[in-house]
Amino acid sequence: MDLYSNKMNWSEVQDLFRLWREENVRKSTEVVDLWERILQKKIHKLGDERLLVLEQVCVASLDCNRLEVADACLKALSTEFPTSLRIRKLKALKLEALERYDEALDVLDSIIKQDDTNAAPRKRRVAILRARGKIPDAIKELAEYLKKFMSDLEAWQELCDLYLFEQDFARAAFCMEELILHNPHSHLIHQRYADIRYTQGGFENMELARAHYCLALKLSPNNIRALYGLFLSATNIAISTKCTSVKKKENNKLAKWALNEINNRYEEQCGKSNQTAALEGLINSLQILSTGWFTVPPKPV
Amino acid sequence: MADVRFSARAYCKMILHATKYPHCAINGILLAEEQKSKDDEKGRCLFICDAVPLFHICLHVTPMAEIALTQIDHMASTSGLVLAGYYLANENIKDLSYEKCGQRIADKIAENFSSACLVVIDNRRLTLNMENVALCVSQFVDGRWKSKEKSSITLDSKAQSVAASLLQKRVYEQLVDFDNHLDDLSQDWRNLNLNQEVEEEMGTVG
Repeated sequence: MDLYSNKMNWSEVQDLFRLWREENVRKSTEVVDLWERILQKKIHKLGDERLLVLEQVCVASLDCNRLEVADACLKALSTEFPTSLRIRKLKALKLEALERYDEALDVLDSIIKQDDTNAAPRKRRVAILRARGKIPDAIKELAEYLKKFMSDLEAWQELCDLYLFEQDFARAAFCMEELILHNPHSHLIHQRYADIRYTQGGFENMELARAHYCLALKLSPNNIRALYGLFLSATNIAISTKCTSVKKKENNKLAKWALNEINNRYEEQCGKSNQTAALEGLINSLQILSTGWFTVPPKPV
Repeated sequence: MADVRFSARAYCKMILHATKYPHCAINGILLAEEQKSKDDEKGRCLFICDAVPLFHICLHVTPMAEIALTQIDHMASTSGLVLAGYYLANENIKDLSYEKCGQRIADKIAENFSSACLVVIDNRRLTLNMENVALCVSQFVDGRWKSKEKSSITLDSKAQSVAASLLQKRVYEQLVDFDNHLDDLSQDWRNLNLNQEVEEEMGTVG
């Protein structure tokens, strides 16, 4: 069941690895697989990318519990740069993979001591707390980190995830607002923010959700989640008691438009065989939704 | 409390979903056949015949869950099935809790189906050989979730060996959950092809 054919040559694999590095994709099994089968023998041909690939394979192999591969990579990297902090961080990562968390924390602390401005080991500390299941501590430590490194978007995203885990939607929404400030043209951030506001519920949050779903759609008209979200939030606003009749008309129109767009997408993209089933299901289910399925009392047993 | 039995198809789909996203929390819905008569509902075995994988991205927000539940409800009612349970796997390997990750959805299902079950996948039991049943099952009794004894949970006879065989063949790469469907509408969350594979594997496994 190989997604990546044996027939890929080493330079195609090198390009693929570069793409995965740039996009920060987590495909650890594939990386280790392709490394062992194809790239390892050609490592001398990689030029400047050799060290980056070694680091990438090291992290991927730790993710898959392939410790021999990780050790080989670490050895190669250490001989090249014996005093590097970046490689010391990888050694801490290996200790984390072995669940020797206290030792890993010691190594990370030594890196922070040596270089106060180094952000990476501080973030690994938060990751260790998360791996140990200590979410409130992870939140505290990450909040402290963000006071010093305010423009670290990855950290704001992680903090949002941690707050969502604790069901603290208000603070999660705040984190997403920071992300929107830094990155106002990302449709995914607007959509996630709208999701959080929708989950919080209440009339004002619903209106905020609707506004951000609209923004997400303006930025990316093919975001299906935003289309569904727009339909849901507009419908919820229209049936709310706080809604004025002008807003009701507006929201009904929006909901209808969203439903229409969703139908069109299904027609375009669904294969012939499941098209009718999906569409039928969709129209009926959305009609049920607009009569408030979630507010109807349960069926008698 | 009635016993709970899982078909090979439901068991395999749950395990494959968890394996496809080892670094994420995942969840999904369990389906059972519709009971025609009310009399033998209590005290009878609950047979979970299918599973629908839902999400692996951000389980805590509700809008997509509402859409998914209505679509699945519609599909189920046209196929003589009913939403009978909810499964989840936590991102942390030792975490067997369910309060944070989806009790809302499970409670909703229990409102409409009296003997609903809530399954937490025990991540530590996911191996290439699947020797142990990797599920912790709770059932909705008297208004709350009560965990069930291992002895009252059964799987179809070949379920474990089929699951092991599918894991070794990396069939989990073919599984489509609702998140995959939302990213690409042409992917079918009913997993008809995968159901077929499970059936074929049942035939070949001893």
